[in-house]
Amino acid sequence: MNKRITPVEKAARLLDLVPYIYSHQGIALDDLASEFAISKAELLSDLNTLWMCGESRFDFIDLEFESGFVSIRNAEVVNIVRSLSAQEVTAILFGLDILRESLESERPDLLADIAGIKEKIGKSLDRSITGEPGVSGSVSAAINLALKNREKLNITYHSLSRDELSKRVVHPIERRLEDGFEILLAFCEEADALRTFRLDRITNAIRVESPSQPVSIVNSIDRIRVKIRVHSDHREVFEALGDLQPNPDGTLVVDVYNQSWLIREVLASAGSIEVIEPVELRQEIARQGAGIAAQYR
Amino acid sequence: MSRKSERLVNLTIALLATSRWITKSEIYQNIEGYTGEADAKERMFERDKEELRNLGIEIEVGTFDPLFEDEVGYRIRPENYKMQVSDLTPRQLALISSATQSWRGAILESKASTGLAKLKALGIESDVDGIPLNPHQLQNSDSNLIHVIDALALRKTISFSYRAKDNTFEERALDPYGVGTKNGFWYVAGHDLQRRDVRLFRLDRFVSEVKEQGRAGSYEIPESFAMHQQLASESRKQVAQLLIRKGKAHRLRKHSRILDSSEEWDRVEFSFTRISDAVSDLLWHRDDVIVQGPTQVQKAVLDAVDFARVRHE
Repeated sequence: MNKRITPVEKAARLLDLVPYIYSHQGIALDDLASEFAISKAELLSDLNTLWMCGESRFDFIDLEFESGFVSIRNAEVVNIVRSLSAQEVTAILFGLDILRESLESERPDLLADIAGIKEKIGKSLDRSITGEPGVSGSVSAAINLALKNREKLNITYHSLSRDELSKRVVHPIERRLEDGFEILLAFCEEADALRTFRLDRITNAIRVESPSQPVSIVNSIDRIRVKIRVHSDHREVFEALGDLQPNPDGTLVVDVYNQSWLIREVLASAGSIEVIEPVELRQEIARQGAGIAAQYR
Repeated sequence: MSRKSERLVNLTIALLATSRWITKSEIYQNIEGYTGEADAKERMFERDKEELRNLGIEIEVGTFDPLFEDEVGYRIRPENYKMQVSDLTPRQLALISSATQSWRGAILESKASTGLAKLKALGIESDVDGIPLNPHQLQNSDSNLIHVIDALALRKTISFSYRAKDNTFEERALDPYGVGTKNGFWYVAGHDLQRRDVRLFRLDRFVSEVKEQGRAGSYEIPESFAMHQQLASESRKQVAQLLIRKGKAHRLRKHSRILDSSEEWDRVEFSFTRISDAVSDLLWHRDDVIVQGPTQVQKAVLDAVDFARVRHE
């Protein structure tokens, strides 16, 4: 993460570098940078600043890093590991919660270790922090391995628009975040095309240890433009439809990939969402509504 | 920018190195960077002190002579500066290391790294034998998460603009008690100052930056509060009898118990929390679901579908 930091954050990092270097004398610049999740340039800038610090203007910290390896002397006063900040403790506690979920129950030894860590470092925040992963651990692990080894995956997918569990063989291409959801982009053998899959809807993933083919097919999923009117504002409508572009007459335009999904959302909104165009879609919604009602007669 | 960092580090060193109180004038004299008129130096020093406190570095203030409080002195006690955790085992350190990996690319990544680096600086060896390496990823790039964590740690009230149920924006004020994540969403719970009760908010429904209000330590988190209870699913106390088409409506089946089955349909008992939410969930599955009872639910579903149909005729 290469975002700019404030002078205060930089000062905090300088203070944290001191005891780390003391306990890792002669550490390579690259290793030190990666331990602090900063670039080598940032680290060099840090070291150049730290080099100008000391107990007085005649008594600087003795820092050596020209060789590419870092060592430190004459900074005993600040060779103290600082308390963890609230953000650091929080980051660790969430990480531990997430890790605990991926541990199998036959590792009670590790679960006990995690409870022990929380007791030692997180007591003040423990009641306030709780994390549960959104994606099943075994699915996540299988996808990562398949991506790394360029293997195919056998997945069971819950398609929301068709409301079906389907089994597919896919060639994973990329794992990314879209709209707050983790997405797997993959070439789907059944569809013979690129498809995106939401990770939280993949109920099972098994690696097929045969190499995945490099794919050079463009994403050719059709998109339709729908004009809608929202009659009573519900947060759920906004969240379901996502990015809405308003027209001057109060109608909204939304691009959807999947008509079937939109029909479901419209019915579920109980009339809060009205589709105006395309007319065929409007008629289809009326027809399906009548069909559902007819089941009760 | 380096200038200021340098000054803050030097101030910390000077205050740590001293075993007696040191005065402002000694600080101005010995530490480079305090320049300008007396007023300017004063402001600079006050600000530096405040910023070091925000980093969790405790600066003590004392007087030389309790009878004459004309000049105060400052110092940092090493025992307050120092991390109190020292008995982590090598395996625990390896677990923390694995845990922090889940922040890769997300908002607390650098904090996870520095936290881990501090623990490693304690000189514990890490024992990675048998430690699983592939934890889930935490997904969050929302800077409001950081603001909430800071406010929570300092017990400061926050205010923000929130997308309400009717899709309008409301100004809310909250004493944050906890932060959590579930199913990929992030939540903040706390005492809502207007509603005067504990409420839960979803972070992605915040439509403004979180602002801190008032002083640190302005509230306490009740002993009985536990974030995981806030995120526990609401109990589904009501039931309806449904016909669900075979192989369909998987989302509903998670909360259903099969009563009997015919060739085309499963008859189930479906449990739910609120009727309005249930109607929406049932209609989402279109003609794959038929409500058999109670009449109240059946009527609500029929009314809703009629409403949607009439709109489109």
